[in-house]
This record gives sequence, structure tokens and C-alpha cells, in this order.
Amino acid sequence: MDIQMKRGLLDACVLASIRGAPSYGYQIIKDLKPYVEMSESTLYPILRRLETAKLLTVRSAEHNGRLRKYYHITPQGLQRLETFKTDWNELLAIYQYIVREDGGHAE
Amino acid sequence: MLNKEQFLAALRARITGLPKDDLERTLQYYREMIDDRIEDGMTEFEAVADVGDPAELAEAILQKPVKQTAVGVAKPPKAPKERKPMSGGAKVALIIVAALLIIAGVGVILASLNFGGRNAMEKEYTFANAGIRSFVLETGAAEVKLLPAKDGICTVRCIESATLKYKVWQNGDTLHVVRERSGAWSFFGASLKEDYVCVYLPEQAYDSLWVKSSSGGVSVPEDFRFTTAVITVSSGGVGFSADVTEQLAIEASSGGVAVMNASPNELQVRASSGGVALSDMRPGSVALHLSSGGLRLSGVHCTGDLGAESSSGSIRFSDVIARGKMKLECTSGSIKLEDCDADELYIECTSGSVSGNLLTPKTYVARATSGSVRVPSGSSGGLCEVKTTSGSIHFE
Repeated sequence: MDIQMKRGLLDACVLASIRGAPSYGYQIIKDLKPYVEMSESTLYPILRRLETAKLLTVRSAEHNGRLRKYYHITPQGLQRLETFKTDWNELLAIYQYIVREDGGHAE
Repeated sequence: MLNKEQFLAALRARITGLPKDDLERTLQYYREMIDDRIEDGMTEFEAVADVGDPAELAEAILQKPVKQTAVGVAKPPKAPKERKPMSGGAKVALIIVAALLIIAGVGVILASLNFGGRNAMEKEYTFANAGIRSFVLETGAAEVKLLPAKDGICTVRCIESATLKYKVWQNGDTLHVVRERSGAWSFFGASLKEDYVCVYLPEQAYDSLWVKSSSGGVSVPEDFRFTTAVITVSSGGVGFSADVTEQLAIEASSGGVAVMNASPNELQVRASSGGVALSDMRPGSVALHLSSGGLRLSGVHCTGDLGAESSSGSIRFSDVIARGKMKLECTSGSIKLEDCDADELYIECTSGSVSGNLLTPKTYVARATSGSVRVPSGSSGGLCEVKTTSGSIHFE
């Protein structure tokens, strides 16, 4: 898959995994497993980039006697997911055109 | 097979080029990843292996975010990363990194020291009109401060965090505030920046105060009066200005002790390496033991005996009077008495000098083994016996 496309996809995946409720690193990886095999070293720069872009915020909370970082989606992060949906609707239209059985002529 | 700390050390060694914030954040991220896997049921070795190989992770970390490592879509094996041949510069960097590993080890400990500071919050416990008369306060690094309560309610305010909590409860007429140890972080003695236990007291007169603190200091202002007060600190200092009627006992290991105003029937101070300063007190009997700190008394008038012994610190008294015996012993420090007096004095110094002036005439018996002796002649007044081995004796 094209690297730029992949990056946008992975960003959206991570945002989607924290859309319903805040989550933490290992849980995000587990949640995405059915869709994307993501390693720690892949997830980390994504989380940092999303934090810098203010699409998520990080808060530490106590868990079993240690502190764990939880990632919370921001309003801008939710907006990004909406943008992603719109982008992909466009992409879907293009996909339909590409795989059409009956040649490339417009109707 | 690496364990968690070995993995983190190996990873740290490979990414020392990063800015400190990024470095610590990255290590914390991977530490958390390992801990979460362990919590999920993996052993420590399994968790570390599952997170990855420190060398490969370091390459991924040090690459710019633009270059993503290959990600398989729902494919179990991780896509292999290309190994770049190490440049000469990288080889030199590795040699430096090896030398920095010791500093890195310290860095891990320092990072964990600061870690407890996150999410610290002030907690408030109130005991309204609950008939509290005595206190048992036990802290670690937190400073213990007693303060007058302006609202007439007994309140405890302390800083708590994920790694530091207190149990605060009332038993009968005694208020207890005791620090709870939590988790492995207490091994490092994690100390928070704002670390205190403040006890606000609505009244002035109370029964007993019992305080034990490790490295936090203890501060008791003059607004209060206790029947007894026992204070034990390890490396924190003690500032005590309240009044005490029966017994005041203070023990400090390396912190200094400063006491004013209190006039207990019995005063005991024991200090190991910190100094002790007592001023403007009217106690009954006084017993002071010092190891290497100096002893300074000023304006202390005892109605009973005063005994002070010091190992290597010096003793300086100014306007110190005992209606009883004054017994001073110093091993390697000197003794100086200025405008002091007692019914009888016994002063012994091993290698220091003894000098000063007493307010009333005394019968001096002075013996210096190798130093000079100069004392007033005459034989009226109480006995003043002075002995020193290698110092001199000089009384006006």
C-alpha cells in the first residue's frame, strides 16, 4: 500500500480506537489487531504526531500502583475522523470507476 | 533473553542522542507496554520479547516519523526492517554510548524519583469539633507543619499522589496521620516537589504531640502549648517554638534542631550530625547529647540540672543558668561559657579548650594536662571543676 495513504489510514485507525472512550497504548494495539498489525514502534510516532496536532491529549492515571498514559480524543480529533470519512467517500467513487467491468466511459 | 530493566537499559543506550524529554517519554512508553503485557498474563521475558528487539526499535525510533516501517495488513509476522550498515560516525557514537551507560543508570533512577510527582494533589481531611487533644504524625519526606486554624476546625492538608497516600483517622481524642508506603517507587524514596503535611489546629492547648519524619522537617510554631512533645526526624530539620509543660524530647539524625520558648519540666535533645540551637527557654532539667554537630544555647535558664555532652562539636553557652548542676562534656570540640552560672559546674574536655565567665564567684578546681590554666582565685561560691587533656582553661 502507498506509504502516504497508509499513514493517513493508521492515524485514523488510532483516532477511531479512542473515539468511544480513552484508551492506552497496549489496548489500542489489541483493538486494531483484526484490521492492522501495528507494532509498538509504529504506534508511538503516530501517538506523538496526533498529540502535537492536538487531535488527542495524554493524561496519566493510576492503575494498579503505577501510572499509565491514557489517550483522549479531542474535538479536533473527531473532526479529523469526519474529514477522513468524506475523503474516503470520494476515494470510493474513484474505486468504483477503476474496477468497473464495462470500460471507462462516462455515462 | 532480556528482562524489563535490561531491555530498557539496552534501548536507552541506543537512543541517548534524543532530547531528554523525548528519551524519557519514549522509555516510559515502552516500559508501559511491557507492564501491560505482564498484566495481560505474559511473563516478564515473554512481554519483553513481544515488544521487540531494542536494536530494531531504536532504529525505528531514531528514524524521522515520515519513514514508516512496513506494516502488514492482518498478517501475523512483523515485516522485517532493513538493516543499514553502521557508518563510522555511528561506531564512534556507540563507544561514547557505552561510556554513558553509567550515567544512564543514574538517569533511570532520577527519572523515577521525579515520576511520583505527577498527578500530585492536595487532599484535605477535616475533623470538626471532634475533641482532638493529641496527635500522632508520621511522614517520610513530607514536612510536618502545625499551624493555627482560623476557621475553628481541625484540618489536615497533605499532598498525595499515585505513590504517596496518608491514612488519617481519629481514635478517641488522638488524631493520626500516617504515611502509607505504596509500590516499588517508595524504594527510591520518591520525593515530591511540594511535599507537606499541614495540620491546622483550632485551639492552643493540647495534650501530646508525637511526630516521626524521615527527611521532611518538622515545624511547630509558638501558637500552641503541649503537655508532652516527642519529635523524631532522620534528615529533616526541627523548628520548635511552641510551649511544652511536661516533657519535650527531640531526636534528629542529621537534621538541625532549633527550639525556642518551650519551658518543659524535662528537656531532652539528641542529635547525631546536625547542630542544636536552644534559645529563650525556662526548662526544668535539661539533657543534651550531640555527636558531631555544634551546640548553642542562649538565654536558657533551668530550674534544675543541665547536662550536655558533645562528641566532636563545640559547645557555646550564652546567658545559660542552671539552678542545680551543670555538667558539660566535650570530646574534641571546645566549650565556651559567656555570662553563665550554675550552683555547681563540672566541665570536661578531651582535646578542646574551655573558656568563659561565670556570673557568681566559684571555687575553681582546674586541671589541664598540656594546656595553660587561668582562673579566678578565691574559694567562695559553688564548685566549678574543669578538666581538659590537650586544651587550655581560661575563666575570667
